Amino acid sequence: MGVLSVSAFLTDAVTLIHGPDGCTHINTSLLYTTLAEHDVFRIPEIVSTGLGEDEVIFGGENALEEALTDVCAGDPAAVVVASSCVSETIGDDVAGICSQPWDCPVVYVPSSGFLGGTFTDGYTSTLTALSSFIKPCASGERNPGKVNIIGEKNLEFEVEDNFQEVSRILAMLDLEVNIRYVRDITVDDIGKFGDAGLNIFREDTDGRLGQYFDACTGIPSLPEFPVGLSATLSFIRDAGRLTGRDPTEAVCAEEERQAALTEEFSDLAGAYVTFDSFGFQSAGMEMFTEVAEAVGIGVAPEGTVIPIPFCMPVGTLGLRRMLRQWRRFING
Amino acid sequence: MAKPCTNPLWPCAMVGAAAAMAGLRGTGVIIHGASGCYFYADSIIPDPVNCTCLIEDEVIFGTGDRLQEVAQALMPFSERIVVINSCVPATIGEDLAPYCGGSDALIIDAPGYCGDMMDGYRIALSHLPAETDPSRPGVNIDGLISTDPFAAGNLMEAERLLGRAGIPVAARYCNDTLASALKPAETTVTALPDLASGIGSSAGSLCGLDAIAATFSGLQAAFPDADCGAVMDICEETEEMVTKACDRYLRVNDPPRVAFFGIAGYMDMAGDLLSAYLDADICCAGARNQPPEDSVCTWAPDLGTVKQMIEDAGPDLVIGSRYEATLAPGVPFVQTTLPIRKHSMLCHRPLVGTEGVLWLVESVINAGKHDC
Repeated sequence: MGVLSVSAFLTDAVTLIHGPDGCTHINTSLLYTTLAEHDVFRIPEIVSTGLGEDEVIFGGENALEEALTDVCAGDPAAVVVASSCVSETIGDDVAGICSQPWDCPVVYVPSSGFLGGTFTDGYTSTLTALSSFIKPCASGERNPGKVNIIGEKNLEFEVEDNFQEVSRILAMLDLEVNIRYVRDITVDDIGKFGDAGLNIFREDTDGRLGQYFDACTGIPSLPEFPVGLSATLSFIRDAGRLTGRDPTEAVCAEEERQAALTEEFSDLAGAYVTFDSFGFQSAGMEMFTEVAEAVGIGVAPEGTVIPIPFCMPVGTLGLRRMLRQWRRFING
Repeated sequence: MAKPCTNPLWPCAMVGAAAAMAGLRGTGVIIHGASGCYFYADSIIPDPVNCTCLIEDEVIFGTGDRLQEVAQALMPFSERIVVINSCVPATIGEDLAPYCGGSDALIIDAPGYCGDMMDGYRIALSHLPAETDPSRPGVNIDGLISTDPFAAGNLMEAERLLGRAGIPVAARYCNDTLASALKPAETTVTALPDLASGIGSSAGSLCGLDAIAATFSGLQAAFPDADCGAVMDICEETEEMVTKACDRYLRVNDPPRVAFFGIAGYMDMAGDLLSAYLDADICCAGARNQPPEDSVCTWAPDLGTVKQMIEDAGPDLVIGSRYEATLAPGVPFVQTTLPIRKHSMLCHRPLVGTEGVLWLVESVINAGKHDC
């Protein structure tokens, strides 16, 4: 699913899952459901090699070759091949078959379900594998006014809101988005990756993506979307520094916006809250404490229980949405 | 042999087997496989299912200990442990019997690659050691799978019709206690023919008016004390209502040009009904499962096939799932098949029995009407 959360958003590519139809159905169904929840009624094209009992016994490499021939005949811009638990267990040489000459570009992403790691591993592997489509900067010189957005969480509910908020912040520095890698772009669009002067990752907490793309493109980067009051200001300063822009005005404007935000929620001053991570969220509490203090809310164990959101609020807009939720909990 | 297919639309055998067994209260169903398989199955099976959540280590060093752990945890709450073996452990081929907490577990090999959901349902029931009990009164109802959004309504409707005939209901497959399911009566009526269990002697199905009439006619002979005439009366009343509503519709509308997609049994029933009473043009009919030879449907288990069929046929009414609704935007639509996304279906609607006939005709006639 981690692979598909990236590859399915490459609009002119086909994803081929080397496994039984049931595995592809699971992924198609979950992806379709999630997109429908976002009011996106699009069904990404995901092809199954349809492994059956015969292939499990005698090997599924012929089935993969046949499926690749079929898919390439449709002349897609690229084929992303993902392996599955079954194909890895029976030991098919998926990498070998994908590396043969085909009529269209074929990218193999090892993603063998529970044999091959987590959702994040599949997501990371696909982002790095698709970098093979990045071309050298066409003009020979990067445009410092352009920014790549890398690794948006396509399945998160707030994905478009978060993008709009980051775009707003970047616009304050006269920066514009070059490509969204990978969200509703074509394979050709990836070729423009090298034109940008800055990479911004959605969330690269372990630094794996940053290391990879820094090394392969040499473009400076910021590791994550801004989360929190001071982090948003730091984000603006860092983006300005890395693109040779003076961030002073933008920082002042954002400070005013944040002051207006705390004023908007001043009715909550004097209330007490406590944060509940439900035992599985790994988010640090500093950002929440910072926001609470800014608004005048105390943090104490006996306070109103505030659930920590699954996805952290991005930018000042995200904080406004979060504070509205706090207000509902406190007044509810 | 494997055949590439674009966006397969029907769940695998593992899901069907798990749904069947989880519908029998008293079972402790364990999906022996990965969390990914389990999460999907759990999302469409309303009854409790459990999982061994296998990871790489267990695939290399053996999955038995993990199964033992889960089976032991479930035993205090279960009359019988049921292990649904999924793709990878089925491929590895371990002997799982010694790892079921020392209990006499039912181990069902239902890897996804051995078939689709309907195959899995039948495989599971073929492993159930049910023995007909001549002393048990009434008839069994089969053809109920909890992943079918109409299953609960179908059961209620089947019970209602049998109740009107004064025939007690014996075992219900698969929505019953395990004890009841293991001791069925000798005769069975089928809600959805695609899921006939083979348990007991079949008295026919309840899918469509003709089938209901034939089934209850047969039951009258087998149960001389029953009042199957009451059900025949309901069938007649239903037919009158359908005829009147369809005639009224046809006074101001052309017959619909209908595309059907879903379970073959339902689609055949719908095809007969709409052809007979609405003079409908069945422009295409695709079954998610392998249809029987005399079916109006062709096998259409993937989105690529469905898309092509809709494009070629140009229907003005689509009966199917949200996938078909997405592929034919703006075309009036009746939802009869998984997935039901973006819409809620809370009440227990039947698609079989006389109420099923009425609901389907009502939905077709009302589809696309937006005026008050």
